[in-house]
Amino acid sequence: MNMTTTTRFIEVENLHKSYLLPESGRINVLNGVTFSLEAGSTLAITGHSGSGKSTLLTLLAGLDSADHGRIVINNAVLTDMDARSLHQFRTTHLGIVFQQFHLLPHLTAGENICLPLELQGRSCSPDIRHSLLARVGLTARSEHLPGQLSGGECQRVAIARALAVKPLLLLADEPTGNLDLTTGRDVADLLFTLVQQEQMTLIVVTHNQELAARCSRQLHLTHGVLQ
Amino acid sequence: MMALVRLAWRDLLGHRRFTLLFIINLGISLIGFLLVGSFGASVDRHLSTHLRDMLTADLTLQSSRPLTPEELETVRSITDDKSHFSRQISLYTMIQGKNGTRLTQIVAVDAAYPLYGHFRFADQNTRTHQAITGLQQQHHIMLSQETARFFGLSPGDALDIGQTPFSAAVFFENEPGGDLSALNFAPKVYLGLEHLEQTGLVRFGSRISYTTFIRLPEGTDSTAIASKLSQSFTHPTDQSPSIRVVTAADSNRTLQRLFSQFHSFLAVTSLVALALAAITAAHLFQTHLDHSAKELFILLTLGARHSHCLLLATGKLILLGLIAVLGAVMAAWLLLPLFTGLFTGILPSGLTPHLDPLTMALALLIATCGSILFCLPALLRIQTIHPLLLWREQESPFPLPTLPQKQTIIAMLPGIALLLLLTIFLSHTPSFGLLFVVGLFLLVALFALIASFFFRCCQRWSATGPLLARIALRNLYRRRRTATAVFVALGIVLLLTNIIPQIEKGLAAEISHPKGLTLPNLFLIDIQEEQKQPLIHFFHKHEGVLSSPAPMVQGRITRINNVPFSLWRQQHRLENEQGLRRTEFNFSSRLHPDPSETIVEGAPLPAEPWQMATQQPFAISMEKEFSKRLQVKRGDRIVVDIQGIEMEGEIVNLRRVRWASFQPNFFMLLQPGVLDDAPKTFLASVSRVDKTMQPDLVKQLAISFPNISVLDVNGLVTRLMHITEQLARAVRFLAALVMVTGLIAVIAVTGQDVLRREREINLMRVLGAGRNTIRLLLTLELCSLATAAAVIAFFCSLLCSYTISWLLFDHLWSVQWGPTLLLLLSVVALCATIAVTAADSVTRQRPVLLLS
Repeated sequence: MNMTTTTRFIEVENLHKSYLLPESGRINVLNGVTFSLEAGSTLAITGHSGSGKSTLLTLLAGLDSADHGRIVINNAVLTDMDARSLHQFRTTHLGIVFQQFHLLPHLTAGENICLPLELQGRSCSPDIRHSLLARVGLTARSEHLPGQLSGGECQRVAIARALAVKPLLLLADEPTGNLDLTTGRDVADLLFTLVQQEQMTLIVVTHNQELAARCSRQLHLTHGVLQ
Repeated sequence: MMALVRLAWRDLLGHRRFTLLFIINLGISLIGFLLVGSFGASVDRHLSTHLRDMLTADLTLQSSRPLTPEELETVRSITDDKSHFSRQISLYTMIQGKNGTRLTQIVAVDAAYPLYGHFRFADQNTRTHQAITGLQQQHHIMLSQETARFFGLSPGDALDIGQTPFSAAVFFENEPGGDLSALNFAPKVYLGLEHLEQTGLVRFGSRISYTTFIRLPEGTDSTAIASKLSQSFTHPTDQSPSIRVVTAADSNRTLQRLFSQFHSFLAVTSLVALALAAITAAHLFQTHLDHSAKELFILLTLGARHSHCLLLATGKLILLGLIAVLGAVMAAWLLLPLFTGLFTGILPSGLTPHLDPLTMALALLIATCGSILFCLPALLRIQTIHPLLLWREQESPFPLPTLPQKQTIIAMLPGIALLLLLTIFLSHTPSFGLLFVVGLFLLVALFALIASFFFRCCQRWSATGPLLARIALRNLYRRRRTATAVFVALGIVLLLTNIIPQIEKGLAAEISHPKGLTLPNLFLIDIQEEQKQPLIHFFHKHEGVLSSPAPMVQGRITRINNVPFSLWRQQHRLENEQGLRRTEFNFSSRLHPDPSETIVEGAPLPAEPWQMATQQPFAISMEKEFSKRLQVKRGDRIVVDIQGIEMEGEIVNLRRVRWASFQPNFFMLLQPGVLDDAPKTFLASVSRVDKTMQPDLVKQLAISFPNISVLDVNGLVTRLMHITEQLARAVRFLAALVMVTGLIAVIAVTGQDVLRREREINLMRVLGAGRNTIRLLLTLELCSLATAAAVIAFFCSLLCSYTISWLLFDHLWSVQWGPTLLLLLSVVALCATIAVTAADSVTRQRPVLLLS
């Protein structure tokens, strides 16, 4: 793994990303994005649809590669890593929460939570499972399938699943986007409480101004440029 | 790993429709594979283990004359001192009983018979040795219960054999070697060897077979002994043994060759089911993968590698395969006795069918590894997915990337190779396997091509007509990829299913009512020259029309194109060719061809008698198929030896013979004059005899001409029809499995397609279409597709059945419209049901919910 010594937890320098579309030609999605973030802080990235928020998140998650620029997370240079190292980094350092929850429909809430650990070949004892469910307030729902849970409960399971690997960085893509106002607030409360308890760094992409306001820092993207 | 297994299991439980269809589809095709494989293995095993019992010896010496004392001495010197011998003389004669008269095989045996095996008697207390000893001591006969019933005999009743009365002493249920006697012309009556002479049947002109049975000490190499014996009996001039030495292994080869031809046909039928199941499995899995792609994306974002996803998918296939094979083995275990029961009377009676371990292992391999190979094109798509797409979703089902066409074709090759290996395994013939696989893929390509043309026509036709028909036709064109799968599956199923009745009925029609010919009632053998005129007079007085008696002379082929016949057989690898292991053949002569034969190449035989003094070769007319087997052509010269006189002839024409006509026909007809001086017997047929009068006519014939053997053609035809029906029933059984597999393919493809069109169908409902309209729309789509596929399949099946009949069954073919139309209507009706069921599965839900 490529390492570098820096005082910041996350450092993004001059990040560029473009896509080649068959009809429209090359489209620049990110144009020299630069920012840094302290460990344990929370950051909201806002912007209109197509502004590049999700692209930035996928680059930070190591799921896509930048055309140009540098991403350093916890002294690891993501942009210099090969696919294998990136995979290793992602599974041990990152947790991701999606707007659509993305729970596996045929696994129970408890099994969904344990899945990231089991995929790494680590055991997920009933105690660990219980503890994770307890942190999101769903101990009674352990054996329920996602189809038997409400939207808010599904998102809580998704958050617990993201926490299972004890990540240093939690990436959340519109975590309340699929929930009603009250449930969204409850989920946001839970998310921020857990981030504080675990002393994780949180980057959340959102349109929700109320959610963005709860973050210690906000960045607004317009046409791939940070304002 | 456990997490993946659990996930795979849960996923399969979650997609019940896919799971069920996949298992049933694979399971049913595996039932056919297991039945055919196990049936073949059971027969092979039975023949191998019971062969000595069936031959009643380790080896036999067969000849048309008794062995000379010198030859007997040679036999004793070559075989071990501890060897046992038994002698048998058999001949055919007419026997007149209380209830009727029929041709019977008289088998005279010595006290040592049988050296292996035993009789099974109606009276359970009777032992074989005791019964055979009784035959030697008194004028007793032993016959089967069925034969005794025919002659109206009870224990102790007298029956005249030739000039001597014999007492019916013992009735048996089964005789050694009688297991494969379904096609024997005449029942056997056993008597003591010492009493045969007194019957007066052993005289000039009698067709007598002499057999010496030899039982070698355990562990003796019977093949080596047989080889030494063959060499010692070899004719000094043409190196052909004058006494035929047959080992148990030779008999096994002959029996297995007969069996393997039919077994190959069964194998092909079961493999069509397997091939269809493979195509359906690949389609089902591909669709399932599209539906569950989102889960793979999620897994990848949660830390799974592509290898994990691949493992998950293959794990699902293995689990499905295991369940399918388990179900198939259980079903095959239940069905195997029923399946074997279809051959009762044709197969050895003691045959006990068992599920073959090797076939079961192969079925397991097909179900697990085979499924993976057949689904390889779909599995390889997993390697191309990227979790990034999870952010670009909002589209259901998830877009699973497609492989480039070249890679898809390469990925299909292992599955095709597996199919090829399976065909070779089941048919035991690499060339047959290759032909089958290439043929099948050509057929798939042909149906796909026709489907493409049909869909283009649908697009054109969709411009006019009622709205619903226009939508249906346009939908077929729009969804032509899915529709092609249905078209191909239905086409292949209907093609195969319709070939069977065409061949079967054609064969049956030719056997029972040959077109353009009158089937005789009786066939007369061993007519002596001096009996020709009295026989003609006899038929002037009695009912029936006697055909012109055809002379028959036995002779040997000694040279072909100046090459000794034995060398010719070696050079052309004909030693093991059926009917060419002997050098003796029956020759005949006639001025005009019989109505059952047609000259296909060359000129008719000259009418003027051949003169030996001219030194010119005489003309030969040869049966076309025989010329192919002998590898000779028009213009080739053949030297024949008749009664020690060698004469050279030239093939001047080739004939096609309809053997099913039951007329006196021969492989070789010689120019008039050649056989004039040779001692000969005559053959003739008798037709237009009222069935009720036939027993009396046969009785009168036997009284007036006791040496003439009379074969009941009607009885033979009935037995042949029965055997044909039995074999056809077995093929139909497997064809039914193919049909079910094909329908599962249609259900699977249609069901998945309708689910994919859920939104579109419900939009129509929101716009005012009723449930019946949706049903009608889907029925129109599927039924028009089925009708088109059926019509094409029926034309192809007529072409294929004609080709098969032409190649294998002596051109016996006729179109059977009844089964064809019934099949067409059934398939269209089934497709309508499938369409209505598929429509209901979508329209049962509230359309607003689906559109929200």
